[in-house]
Formats: sequence, C-alpha cells, structure tokens
Amino acid sequence: MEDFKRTLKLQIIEALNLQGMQPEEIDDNAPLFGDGLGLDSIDSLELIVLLERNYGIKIEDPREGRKVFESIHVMADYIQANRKK
Amino acid sequence: MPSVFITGMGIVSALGIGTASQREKLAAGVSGLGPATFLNSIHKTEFPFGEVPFSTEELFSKLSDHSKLQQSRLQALGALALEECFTGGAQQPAGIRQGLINATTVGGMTDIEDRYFELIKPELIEPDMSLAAGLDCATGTEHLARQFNLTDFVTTISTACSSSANAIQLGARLLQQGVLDRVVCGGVDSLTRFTVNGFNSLKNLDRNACKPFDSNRNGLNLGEGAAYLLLESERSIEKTGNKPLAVLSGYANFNEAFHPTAPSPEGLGAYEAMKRTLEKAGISPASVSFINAHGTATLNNDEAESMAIHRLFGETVPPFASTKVYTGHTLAASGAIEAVFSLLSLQHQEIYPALNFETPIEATGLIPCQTYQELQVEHILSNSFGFGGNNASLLFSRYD
Amino acid sequence: MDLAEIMQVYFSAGMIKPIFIRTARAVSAQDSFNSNDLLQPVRSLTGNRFTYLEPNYQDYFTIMQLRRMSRITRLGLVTAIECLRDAGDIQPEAIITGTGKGSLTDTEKFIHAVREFGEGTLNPSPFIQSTYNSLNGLIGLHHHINSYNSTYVHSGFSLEHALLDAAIQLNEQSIRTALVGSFEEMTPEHYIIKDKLDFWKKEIDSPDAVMKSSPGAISGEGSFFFFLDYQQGAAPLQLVDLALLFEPGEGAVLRAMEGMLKQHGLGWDQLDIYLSGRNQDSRHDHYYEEVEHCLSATTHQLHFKHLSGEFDTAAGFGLWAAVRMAETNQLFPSMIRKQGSTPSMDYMLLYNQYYGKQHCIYLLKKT
Repeated sequence: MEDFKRTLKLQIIEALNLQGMQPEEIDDNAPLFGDGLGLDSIDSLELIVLLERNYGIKIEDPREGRKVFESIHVMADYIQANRKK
Repeated sequence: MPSVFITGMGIVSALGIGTASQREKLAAGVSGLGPATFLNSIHKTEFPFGEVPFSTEELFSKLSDHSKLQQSRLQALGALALEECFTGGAQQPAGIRQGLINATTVGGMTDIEDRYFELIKPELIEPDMSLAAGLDCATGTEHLARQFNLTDFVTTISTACSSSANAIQLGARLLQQGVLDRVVCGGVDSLTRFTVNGFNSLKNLDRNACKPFDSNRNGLNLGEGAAYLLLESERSIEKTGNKPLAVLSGYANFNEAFHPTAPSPEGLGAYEAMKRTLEKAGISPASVSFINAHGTATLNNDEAESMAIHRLFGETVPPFASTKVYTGHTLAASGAIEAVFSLLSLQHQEIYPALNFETPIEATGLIPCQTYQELQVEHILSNSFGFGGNNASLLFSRYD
Repeated sequence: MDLAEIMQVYFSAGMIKPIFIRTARAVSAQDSFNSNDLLQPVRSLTGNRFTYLEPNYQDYFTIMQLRRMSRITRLGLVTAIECLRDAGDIQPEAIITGTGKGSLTDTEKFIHAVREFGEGTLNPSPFIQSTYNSLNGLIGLHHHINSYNSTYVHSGFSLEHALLDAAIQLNEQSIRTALVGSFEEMTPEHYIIKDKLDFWKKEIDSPDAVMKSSPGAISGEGSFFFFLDYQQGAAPLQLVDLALLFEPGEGAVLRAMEGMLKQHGLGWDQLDIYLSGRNQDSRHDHYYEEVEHCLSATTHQLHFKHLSGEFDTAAGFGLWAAVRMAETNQLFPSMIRKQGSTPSMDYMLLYNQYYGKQHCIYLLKKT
C-alpha cells in the first residue's frame, strides 16, 4: 500500500503539473483541497481524468469526486476497491 | 454623455433566422434545443444543443449576396444576422464613419477542425488553404466587414461568454466620443467539437434541456448563432433618418478576480456589473422592468447571479428569466442575441416565459417569470458573465 | 482636409486626448526583459524563427501557481507583473490585452486530446487556458484587481485596439490608469499552417536572412505591457495620436500620416525618430518605402523586426523601445537603420503594418 500511495502521488504530480514537487511533500492524511495541498474544482476534474485513464474508474458527478479526493489515504483506498485496471 | 441609439438588429439562433421567427417562438414558449444534426461530434445526440436548423449550404442560399465571404458556417451565420440589421436601413451615407465590432470565442474552428491534422502536415499541399486563416479570429470578422462595407473600423473581442456584450459597450463608447458615427456590434459562434468537448471536460453540460435558476439545475446546453445591433449617434441619425428602436442607456464591465472559471458564491462581479450599469444610466433598481439574466443553468452561475440580483433589488426583484433554455448558450453571440430579445420586449411591450423551472434555489427563493405577459416595459437589464470573472451588463431603454 | 483622411485618424478625429505611458516591459527574442533596455549583444534566430527568451519563472511563482499556466500565459503574467511593479504596484483601473492567437499551445493540446481520446474524458486545463481572455483573468487574480477587463483578438490591430479602448476610457475619465499589453507565441505546428498561407520567407539559411528582401517574413513572438495614465506625472512618453487603417487604398497611409502631423501642427522635418515595422517582406515593404521617401535627413530611422521577428502584436516591441529610449534618453544602437542628424528626440512616429491588411500609425512625444 505504501508503494501504491507513492505511485499515486507521482501520478497526481504529473496530472496536475506540479513541477518540482516531490511525493514526500504530500501528506497521506492531509486534505488535498482547501487548507492542505490547496487544490480546487479544476484540479478535481483533472483527478477524475486520472482515475479514468489509469484505473478505469468513471466518476460522472464532480461532487462525488470531491469525497473520493479527500486525502491520498482515502483516494488510494477508493482506487484499490474500485479499479477496473 | 451623448445618447446611443439602436436603429437596427439582426439575429440567427436555434429559434430560426430573423427577429420575427425568434419572437414567435419566445412568445409561444417553444425551445430550439434538440439533438444536433450538423455538428460533427460523437456527443451530438447525447446532449441537447441549440443548433441553427440549417446546413451551411442552406444558410448561404438564404443570403442575398455572399460574394466576399468564405464557405464558412461562422461567416454565413454572421452574414444572415448582419443582412437583417440593415433591412430598411440606408447604406453608408457620405461622411459617416462606420465600423464593425465583432465577437467570437473560437473564430472559424468549426470550418477547420475536421481538416486540422492535414493542415499541420508539412508535406501535404492543400489545394485551398484560405479557410485555414480562420484559426485567427480576425479572419471571419474581416470577411463580414468587407461584405457589408463596414471597414472604417474593424475589430474582434474575445472575453468568453461576455464577448458581444463587451462589443456593444465598446461601440457605445466609440460613438459617444465621436470616433465613429455608427457601428454594428455583436457576435457570432458556431458549434464546434472543440467547444463541446471543452465544456464536457468541465462537466457542466446537462444531458437534458437546461433548467435556469432551478434548484435541481445540472449544467448548460451549448448553442450557436449570431446577432448584431446597429448603433448610431445623433449625427448619424440626422443623416440616415433611421428611427431608433431603443436606446442603450447604460453598460458596465467588471472583473471580479475570484477564480479562473467560477464566479464568487455571493456574485460580487455580477452585482457590480449590474449596479454600475444602472448608475451609468442614472436609474434606480426599482425602475428596471425586466432582467434578461445570464442564467446558464450551471450550479455556480445561477447561484451567484441570484445572490447578486437579490442583493441589488432586495425584496422587490423585477420579473426575470434566462433565454438559454431557448437558444442554448451561444457563448460570444449570447450577449447580442439576448440584447435582441430585450429589444423585442421593449418594442412589443411583452416579456417571454422562462421554461423548465420547478423549484427555486433555496438561498434566494427567486422565481423567474414563467408566463408570457404583456407589460409596460421601460428598461431591460441584460447580463452576460464569463470565464475569468468577466462580467458585463447592458441596459436598454424605450425610445420615445 | 479631405474627409477620407479625417475618417482614419482616430484619436484626433474623435475627441480623444493624448494618454501617458508610465512604464513599459518587453519579453522578446532579445535580452530586453531583465535590464529593460536593448544594450545587450543581439541574439539571432533560433532555427528559422525568433523565439522569446524565457524569464526565470521560479522567481515569480510557487509550484501551485505555475501548475495551470502554460508557456505564453506565464510569460504574459510575468511581463505584466514587472510592468505593474515599475509603476509602483498601483492597482490599474482596467486590464486590457490584445493577442492575435492567444495560447496556441493550449489550443493545439486540446485539439489533439479530442482526437486522441475519442472525445472521451478530457483534461479541462488546456481548454480553459485556450480562452483568449484567460491571461486577463490571471492578472486580475494575481494582483486582486477588480476592474474593467477586455481582450482584443484582431490580428495586427490587437494591441492597438486594446490601447484605443484604454484611451477612450481614460478620456471619459471612467478610469485614471490602465494596464494594457499583448502576448503572442508561435508553435511548430502553427508555423506550418502559416507557412502554407505564405507568411514566411522560404530561404532562411543564415541569420542574415532577416535583412534580405524576399516574399515572406520571419516568425517571432513576445509579450509587451504598458502602464497608462491620464495625467503626465513621471511618464516618459505620451501617445499623442493613433491612426488605424484597414486595407488602405493607394496613398492612404501617407495621407493619414500627413493629416495626423498637420492636426498636431507638425511637419515631417520635426520628427526626431521614425520607428518602422519594416520586415523585408518584398510583397508589402513598399508601404514602408513610401514613408521613407518623405522623411527628413535629420530624422533617425529605426527598425525592429530584424530583432523580434514578425507577429500580430510586434508593434508592441517598437512602442516599448520608444518608451525606454525616451526614458533613458538614448537610441538603441541595434535598432538604428539610418542615423539622422537631430540631437533631440521629442517626436516619434511608429508605423507598422501586418501583411498589408492592418496598418497602425502612432504619434509619440517625449515628455
């Protein structure tokens, strides 16, 4: 699971174009939106694309996405439980 | 400030070609939304669109003269609206400086996107490259300007969904400061795979007909079309003898600097744009007869716009509605299309019903006008709000 | 004066008063940004075109800020930031930009994504950034500026229409200051399209190609920002008049220039500096040649396309140079085409045309 979280962080860094950020800088349990990493609604759409392209998970309603993207921890659990590839 | 008279208007939308066709459908509450026919996209039947119900060839066949135009859907739509603008109006009288202020979000993308991957292959020599110039927004505008002899001043504005409202504002200023005597202002956008997929990537396209100001709204529908207003100064009217349809009595543009695509929840930009427009016209909110709302039916816009309306008008909100449910969101054309709708209301002293509304937004409880009404209409406020926080409002007033 | 002349001269034909340019910034193919002058060694072509020198973005933005800005967007924002800083970080009351093509990188990225992913789930950022006014929004966000905001996308008039919009609002005093600028990039893909439209010279085998007359121009790119004020203050330069001519007929450019000079009580021999947009495109250089015939031997003749390349908003490079030369009281040596004899630099005329269609004449005065 720790390896997977690291992979996921690298994918997020690439998808959101966070040039120069290291995976270690993203806390597993800190919120991705708001006070934590500081992502916003457009990032949420980018992460939906990431989930579909990399894991075959389709999220139609962006509001649902925000729950999944609460933290790296929550996101990793959700992907492991729902991934199609 | 000198008055800005509106002496002509022309329009093409999903409701058809010409003002008469628009008025008939608006008054009867008939929407132009439906599956697309001419749009080349896998989404053409998945979402409703406000597509103009004619092929590009059919559009050209309806023009009396298109000798200076390219075989472009964008230009055909623009030309049909411009032709109507000049119906009954004289051609350029001597000593009158006239121009065209156009607006578009993606220019000739519709005409080019199917051939794009051939265009970028260096080894492929295209027999006719001229349409490729349409990737520059100026190209379509210049062809239209040449066709209608509007070449003293030619420009194109692109501020997303508020583009043609800004075109009308620039036109007003150029008249008021004596730079031009008369100017045609408006906008045109044709449906493109580029834009459809763009809005789909933002996940704000509704799979059903949109529900402006409804608590259960779920996004917008895209449309296409063109509309132009002929604005004239006093000096020009003396020479043309044209009779004003109405007066553009106020306008404002306000950038709220909140977020790249979303408005602030309290609708600061919308509030300031409307407030400043009324201040410019020197009228109080209570004098506004009707608000043609931006009302795209996206979650963010309608909430922010409702909050702004509520704040500006307090407990006595005038009748309001969004016509996006008739035409779809026509992007750069929408400000001018809705200006034409506002002028129709002023001309015929009537207002048109909102469609698809059931439940008010909880925070404001605002209910749009849902029936056709004959009403004394003095001033109509028309809103156009766009990406990047670009908010524009216009106020049209009866001419007597 | 003939009516046809008056019809083209915009500021003075209307009731528009001159405006003042307080600060100017340029990112170009030359080292014009850091020192804000043009005294560094000349940079030549990169391959067959001029590409701009990238500022060091890390000095300006955090990773989070940079994540959603593409090549030309971050460039435009940095140029605007420095222009505002030079003006003392005063919040402008309008942000108005001009661009012929906006962020081509994003437009192309999205066109490709639509095809590659079969119109499936797509990344929204390139679509958002492809919107022509996205830079305006970002400048507003970065400086928390609530103001008038507009973007002109009309080819060789884009920057000038932004200036005109600002001028009429400064004139009616609905605003007191404005940030006006342009941003333009070229991409390998778009270069091909414009090549098929005969925009470029065919033989670009050496850096000398920039000086050789032949059909076509050499592609360039850049961003220019100006802080405008309704009053003089410390502004080094005044934009006295601006004429815009679309597809002018025979002799109309000269008539407009003469009309403009006359309007302001000037003759050709009172021009100290002439800045020419001449680009060695043999199809359209005759416009510039006609003007050169009228110039006095006292006038310094400067040009700039051999340093910047050609693009929709390239006149901004000339305007930037005029502001900076006025401020520093010197000519930029690499721009001198023909040295004049006058020791003064009070009046300047900048003339630029874009592929014979859009013609712009600026009358400038050192304060």
